[in-house]
Amino acid sequence: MTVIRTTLCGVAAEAALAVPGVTGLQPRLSRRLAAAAAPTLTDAMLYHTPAPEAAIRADRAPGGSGWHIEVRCNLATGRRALDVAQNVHDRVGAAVISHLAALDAVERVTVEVTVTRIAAWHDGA
Amino acid sequence: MALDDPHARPTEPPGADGPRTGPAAGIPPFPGDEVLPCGRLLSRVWEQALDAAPATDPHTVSCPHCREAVEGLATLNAAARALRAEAPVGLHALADRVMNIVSAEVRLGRLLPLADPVRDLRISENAAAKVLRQAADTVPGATAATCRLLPEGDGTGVRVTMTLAAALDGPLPDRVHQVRRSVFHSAVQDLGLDVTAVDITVVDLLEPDPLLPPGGGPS
Repeated sequence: MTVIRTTLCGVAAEAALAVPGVTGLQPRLSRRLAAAAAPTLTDAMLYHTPAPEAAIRADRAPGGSGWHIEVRCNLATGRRALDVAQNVHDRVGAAVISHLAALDAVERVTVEVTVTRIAAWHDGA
Repeated sequence: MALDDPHARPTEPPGADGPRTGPAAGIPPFPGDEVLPCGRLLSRVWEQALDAAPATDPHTVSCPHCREAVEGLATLNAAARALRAEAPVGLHALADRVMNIVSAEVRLGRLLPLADPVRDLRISENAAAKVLRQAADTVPGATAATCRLLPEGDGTGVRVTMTLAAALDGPLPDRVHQVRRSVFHSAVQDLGLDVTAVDITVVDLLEPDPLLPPGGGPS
């Protein structure tokens, strides 16, 4: 299950980053705190540029049937946040379902998208 | 603590200064103290290495066990001292990093629903407020001070509460109306929020811009 969760996060992150208007993914608090507590400078440097999947949370849905995916993304100005979020939602959902099908582990998937930041490209988003 | 930190030493065991030929005589002065193969207590050898010139104790100079023990402890002691010197800086840096991360998370504010009744889509209050403040600032003679957003009702409704600084070179109600219209437009067009109301309070006055005609410029 852990292996599936890890690969789901990678698949979801890749799908979200491919959506026009998404400039990056916002790492989850737990991953950022883990990075801050990295015991060595090398670890800290690695974690300060966390992998995209650090912004994804994949959990078993309540009741144990299916997966619930959370995506936190940063957007660029110039596109309506709602449109981009809908696009992220649909593409991530499709990518995860496709991935599960390839693993012969088809299950129900729900996706939750949170826009955490909207900034011009030159703002360093 | 480092190995040579001052500490109260328990009662000296009999014969601790001299070589021993069998198991350590008496009770070791420290719990877990080690008896070297030459019969001397490790703690005693270490203290001698710190306190006395090696030449004053012929045994320490010639004994390979004592020499090896002292060399090992000296390395450990140096490492402990180095870590102790670094620890305060490291802890402060860690605390700073953690506080910065937590502050950034708190600054996101509450999460608000985007106007999609089917999908689970949200936006942070901070991100939305930034866009809406910029929309208010596009109205000449008005500058947004604060902007808060609250979910309203059970659906996707959001209520905006904004405070403004406004110039008095035109009627305030007209300017507030312009700001409200701009904020509504941006909320729908730029964000996709289902805004139910925009409450605006003028809390400060702006000096009129000398380059703009009375009334606030282009309408």
